[in-house]
Amino acid sequence: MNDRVLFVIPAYNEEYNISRPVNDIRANFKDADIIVVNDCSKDNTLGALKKLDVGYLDHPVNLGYSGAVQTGIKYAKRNDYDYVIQFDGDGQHLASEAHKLYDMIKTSGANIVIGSRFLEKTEYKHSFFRRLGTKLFAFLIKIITKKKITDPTSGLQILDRKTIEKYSQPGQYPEFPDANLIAKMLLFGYKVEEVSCIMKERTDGVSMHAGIVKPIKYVIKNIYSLLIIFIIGIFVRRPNNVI
Amino acid sequence: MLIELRIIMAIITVAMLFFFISMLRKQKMELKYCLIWIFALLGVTIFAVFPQLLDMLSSLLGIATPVFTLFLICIAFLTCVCIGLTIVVSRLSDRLNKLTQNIAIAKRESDKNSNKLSRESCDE
Repeated sequence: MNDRVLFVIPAYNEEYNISRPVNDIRANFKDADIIVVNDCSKDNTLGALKKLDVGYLDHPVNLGYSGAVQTGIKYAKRNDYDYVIQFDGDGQHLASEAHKLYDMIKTSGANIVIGSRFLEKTEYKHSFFRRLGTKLFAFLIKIITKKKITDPTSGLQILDRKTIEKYSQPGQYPEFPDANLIAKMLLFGYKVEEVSCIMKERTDGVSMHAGIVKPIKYVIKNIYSLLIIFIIGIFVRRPNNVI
Repeated sequence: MLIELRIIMAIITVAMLFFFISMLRKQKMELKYCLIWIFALLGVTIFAVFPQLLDMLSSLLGIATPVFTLFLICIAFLTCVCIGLTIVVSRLSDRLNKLTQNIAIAKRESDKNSNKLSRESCDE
């Protein structure tokens, strides 16, 4: 493998989880570099990162998930990486599955490859509402871009140079990088593909979507990004090369 | 315009003026953002002292009750202030994002360099 691949792992309060993905990548994706973005965690994530002796970026203030991912992407651009793999810090994603993404982006020439939980039947259990939301998003993307994306909210993605360049510009990586971002990239003529991936349920720590307030916030965010899709669909004329 | 309304306007104006001056003295507010409110208070004072102005404006706009003209002006003014604040907040959050990300990256690069330096001095 001659390409330089960087794993970007956003971490917020992942003191007890972060060693798992890092060790997994070190064991199963040996040629890649890892950068963990500590998004001003309240627990001792920073100490855990130092102990692991892994490359990290440390935010002085909390920017949220998308801000952390964008920091990693900017770092990749500055250091001239060929591919960025977005990887979750909670142990949901598997480095062995990331190989599939890498192989896919090499063979298909896509700009973005998403690791999908729903392309084939996997054992991943999803709460009813999230599955409903994902279906709705997939449906909307299909209508607007004519492209079938089964899992637009997946956090496991590989980005090529062109996408890294695009995402690292200010304002190009939105606060809610869900279905709206994928729809936008498709409309702008970027090639997006999917690969079926196995993902694990998280075992330790608190999910991004746990509690009472957070799921409500998540639903509101989803409605918000839904609106953005609609607006994009109305105003951006579809380039011919998308279909 | 009713004399009661004029008195209420005057009282509110004076109270708010004191509030803004104290905020400015404690440096809790920037003069830049405070000025617009002080001008607004000035406007309210003018209307409280010369209610004929409001009557004239009302007949010009075809509004029967001068109080509604006052409301209209207030709503228009507040909308402008809100839009201005939204723009300021957007700009600030954008800057905060950039700043945080660049600090994180710069910190890593300087750490790397100092590590390299210390390693080199150890080798010597």
